Amino acid sequence: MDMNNYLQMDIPELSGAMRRGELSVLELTAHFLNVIEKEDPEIHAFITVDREGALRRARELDGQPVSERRGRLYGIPVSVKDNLLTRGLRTTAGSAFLRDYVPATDAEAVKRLREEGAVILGKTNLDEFGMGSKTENPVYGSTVNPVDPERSPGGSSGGAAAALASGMCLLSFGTDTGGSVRQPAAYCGMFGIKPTYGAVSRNGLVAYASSMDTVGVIARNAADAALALSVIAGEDPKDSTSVPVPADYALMTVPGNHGEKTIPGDHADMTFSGKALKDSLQGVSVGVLEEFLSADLLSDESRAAVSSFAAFLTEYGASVTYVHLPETELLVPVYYMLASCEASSNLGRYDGIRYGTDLGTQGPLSDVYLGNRTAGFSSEVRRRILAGTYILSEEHYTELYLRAERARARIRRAYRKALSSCDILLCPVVRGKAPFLSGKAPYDDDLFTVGANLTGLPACAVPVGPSSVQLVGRPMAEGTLLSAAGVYEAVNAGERRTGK
Amino acid sequence: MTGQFEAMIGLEVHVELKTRTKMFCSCSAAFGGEPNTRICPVCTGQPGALPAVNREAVLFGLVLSRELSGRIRPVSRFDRKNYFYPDNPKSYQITQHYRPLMENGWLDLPGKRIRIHELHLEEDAGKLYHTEDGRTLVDLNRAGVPLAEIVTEPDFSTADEVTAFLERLRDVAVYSGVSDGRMQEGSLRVDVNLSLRDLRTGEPGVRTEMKNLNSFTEIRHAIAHETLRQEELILSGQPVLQETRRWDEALGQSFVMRGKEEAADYRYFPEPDLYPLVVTDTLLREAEALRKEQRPEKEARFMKDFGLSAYTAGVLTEDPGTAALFERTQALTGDPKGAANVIGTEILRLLKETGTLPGESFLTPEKLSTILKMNKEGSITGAVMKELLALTYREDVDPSEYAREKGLLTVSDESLVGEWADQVIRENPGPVREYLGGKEKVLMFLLGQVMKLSKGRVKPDDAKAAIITKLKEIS
Repeated sequence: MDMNNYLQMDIPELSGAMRRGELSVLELTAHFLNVIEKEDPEIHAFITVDREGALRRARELDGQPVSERRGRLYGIPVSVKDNLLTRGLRTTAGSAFLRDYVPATDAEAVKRLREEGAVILGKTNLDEFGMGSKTENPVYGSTVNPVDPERSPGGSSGGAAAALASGMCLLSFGTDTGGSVRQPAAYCGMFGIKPTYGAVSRNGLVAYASSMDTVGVIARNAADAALALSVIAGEDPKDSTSVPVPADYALMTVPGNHGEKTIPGDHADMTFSGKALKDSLQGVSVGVLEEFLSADLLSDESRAAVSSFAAFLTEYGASVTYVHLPETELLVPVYYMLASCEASSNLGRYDGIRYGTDLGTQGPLSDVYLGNRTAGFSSEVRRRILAGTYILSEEHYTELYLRAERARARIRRAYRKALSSCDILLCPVVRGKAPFLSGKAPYDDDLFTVGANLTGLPACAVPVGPSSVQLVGRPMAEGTLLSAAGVYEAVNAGERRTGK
Repeated sequence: MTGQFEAMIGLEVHVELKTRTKMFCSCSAAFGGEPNTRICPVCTGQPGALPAVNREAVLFGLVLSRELSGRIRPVSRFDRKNYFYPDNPKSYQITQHYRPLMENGWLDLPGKRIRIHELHLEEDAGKLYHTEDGRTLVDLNRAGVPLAEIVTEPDFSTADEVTAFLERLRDVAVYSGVSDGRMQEGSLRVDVNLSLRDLRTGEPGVRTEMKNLNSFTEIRHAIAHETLRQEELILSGQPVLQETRRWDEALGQSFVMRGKEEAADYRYFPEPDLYPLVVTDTLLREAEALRKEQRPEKEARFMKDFGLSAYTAGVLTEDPGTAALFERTQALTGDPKGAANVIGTEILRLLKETGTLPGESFLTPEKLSTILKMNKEGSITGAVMKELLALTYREDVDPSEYAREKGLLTVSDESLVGEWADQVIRENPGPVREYLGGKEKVLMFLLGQVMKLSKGRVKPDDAKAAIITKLKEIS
C-alpha cells in the first residue's frame, strides 16, 4: 500500500497496521517530519520540532517484536501544545519566561500517550500561557491558518490545529480554558474536543486558570478524538481535581453494516451505509441554544451550519428543540473576571529570578519584580494579571470576585437546567471565519465557548460544511457527543468510505 | 504601668506539624537537611505542578482541634495568600483564610480561660540566608512543611499568662505527638498582638503586631517593652499606630516593619487546585484514635499511682519521652521511686549536657532498668552507674555486657582493696603523715585515691574500711 492509503486510515486502524508490522513507524514518522520541514516555515505551527527524539522513538517502536507490540497509539505521530510539560524537551508555554525551561517530568496526559506508543514530533505554538485567540506570539512568532494563509488559525491552540490541518501530524493535543481547542479546530476545519473538567489530569499543564483549564484533543475526525481522549483520561492522584472516568467514557458508537462500530474498541468493520445509520440517533434529545443564534455579528455560515446539523439530527432520529440560556450576557464578563483572577495568582511565580531574565534592577525587591515582570510578559498577559489583581484586591473582592463566583453558579444552574431535558446542546463555535492575521480578534469572540469551561461540561467542535457547530454534553457524556459527531461524519463521508 | 491601662494581648501561634511528608507533596518534612535536598516540582513551584493535601497533616490538625475543644468545620477550604518574596516559590501560600479547620476553641489556664478564635492548616515558606558578600540564598527544604496556625482572642493581660498559655499549648502539641514544639528550631513560632485598654473609659486601644520572637524570654521582654512604649505614647498625647513591628532582642527594642498603609493586600481567594476539605466520620474517628494522654492527666496519675510529689511528677512529665521512660522503667524494676530518682537527677543532667531528649537517646527502659537493678544488687557502684548511664545515653551499648567486658563490676575482694590502700599509702607519704598527725579530714583525700585506683569499682564503705585498717596498721 502506498503512504496515501495509510494516511486515509483512522488512527485505530493505522496504529493496528503498525502493531502488526505492516507499516514501519520510522517511515510514517519521517513522512510527517518531511511535511513539517516543508510546510512549517510558512505555517509556523511549531515552537520546537523534536526531530531527533521522534526518529529515536520511531526506531525504538520498530525494534519491538511484533508479538509484543502494545499501545493504542502505537507509532502515531502527534503534536503537543507547548504548555504541556514534556520531559527533557523544552516547554515554553509561549512565554519569554520559559524560553529555556526543560521540564524534569512529563505532563500526565503526555505520559499516558507515550505509554500508548505515540511519537511526539514537537511542541506547538500558542498565545502566551494560552491567553489569546489568535496564536499571535510576540516571542515565538504567529501561526498561519493553513486553510487560508491570510488568516489566523485562532487560538490559543492555533499551532495544534494548524499542524493537523496542514498534515504535519495525525493528532494534536491542546488545552482549552475558554475555547482554546474548539475555536482553532473550527477555524481550521478540524474536530476538537474539550473534555469534562476533571476527566483528564491537569498535572503538567502550565496553569492559566486552574478551575477551567483542560487538556483537549484536535483530530481529523471524531473516531480519532475518541481514541485519543480515552488514552489520556482517568483519575490522577497528582491532580486533586481529577476524577475517575466511567467505563464507557468517550466511547463512540456508530452503527455499521455489520453491527456497531465502537471507538475505542474493536475496529474491524469500517463500512457504513445510510441504511444502517438510519434512526441511529433515535432517543437522543438535542436542544438548540436559542440566544446564541441571535448573537451580534453571527455569520450566515455559522447559523446555516447549526441549521443543517439540526436537520441532520432530526433526519437520523434525534428530537430537536430550542432551549433558552438566559444567562448568555454573563458568560464573557464572568469568564474574563475569574480567569484573570486565577491567572494573576498562577503567573506570580514568573519573576525573572528563577524563570526568565533578571534585568538586574537595583533597589528594593519590589522594583526587581516590577521590572522583570513588566518586561517579561506580553501586553495581553499583563492586562489580565492587572485585571485579576484588581478584582481580588481586598477593596473589590466582595463586589467583583464574589459576584462573579455567584454569577458562575447561576450559569452552572442554567446549563444544568438546559441539560436536564436534553442530552446535547447545539450552538455555534465561532461567529464566522477566522480573523485576518493583521486584524484584531473581537473582544467577545469566545461567547459560545466559555460556557463549557465555566461549567466544566464536555464540548466539541464539529466541522459542518465550510463552518462548524458546537455540541455541549452532560458531565462525562463525551461518548454521546462523539457518537452524534461520528454519525454525522459517517453520513457525509459515507461514499468515500464505502467505496474503499 | 501606671494602672490606668490594661494590656490586651492576643497570639498567633504557628505549630509546625511533624508529619512524614510536606503539606502538599511527598517530600520529607523533617527539620534540617542539606539545603534544597528535600524539594520537588510541587514545593518549588514548578510550572504545571499541583498540590495534593497530606492526610496526616489533616489528622494532626484535627487532633489539635479536639484538644483545644473547638468546633471542627465539616467542610473547610484552602485559599491562596498571594505575595511576592523569594522564600515563597509559587508566589502564593496555600492556607485556610475564609473557612478554617476549627473555630471557637479554648484552653484553660489556672483561673482563666483563653478563647481560641481558630486553627487552620497552611504550608511553611522556605528560608533565606544572607551571605557576607551580600548575596541572598534560598533553601526550600522547609517550603511546604505543614503548619497549624492557632489564633487566640485578645484574652491575655500579662506576659505570665502568655507564657503559661504557650507552655500549655506546647505540652498539648508535644503530648499529642503532632509537633516537636521547639522554638529554637522554629517548630513553634509566636506573634504577639498587643493594645492597651483604658481602664477608666473601657476604650480599647490601637493594636500592634510583634514578630521575630524566638524564646519565651524574648516574648516577655517584648511584651514589657511594647506595653511601656504604648503607654508612653498615650500619656504624651501621641497616637499608637497600627503597625507590624520586629523585636530586636540584642537591642532590647522593636522596629517598625510596615505600617497600616503599607499592609500587604494578600488577595486571598479559594485555591482552585483543591476541592473543599470534607472532614468525614472516618477522619474524625482516626483523629480520635490518635489522641493521647495529656500532661495534666499524666502528672495526676503519676502522683496517685506512684506516690510521687507534685514536683517530681512535674519533672518527669516535662516531655512525653521522659514520662514514657519513667513509666516503662518502673514497670520493669518494680521500683517507681528509684526510677523517678535517677531520671529526675542523672538523666535530666544528661539531657542538659547532650541536648538530646531521653526519648531520642539510646537509653531504653530495658537498659535503664538493667543498670538500676545492677546497682541495687551491688554488682556496680553508684559511680559506675553514672558512667554507664552517660554511655548508654549517648551510644548503643549493652550496659551489662559492657560492664563485664570493661571490668566495671564491683570489686569486693578484700585483699585487692587492701593492696590498693597499701599503694595509696605508699604513694602519698605527706597526706598520710598529716592524717597520722591528727588531721582527720585528709582521710577523704586518701579514700578518693583508693576509689580512683579502683576506677570506681569499690563501694565507698569498703574502701573506707580498708584504708582505715591499713592506716591503723602503720600508726
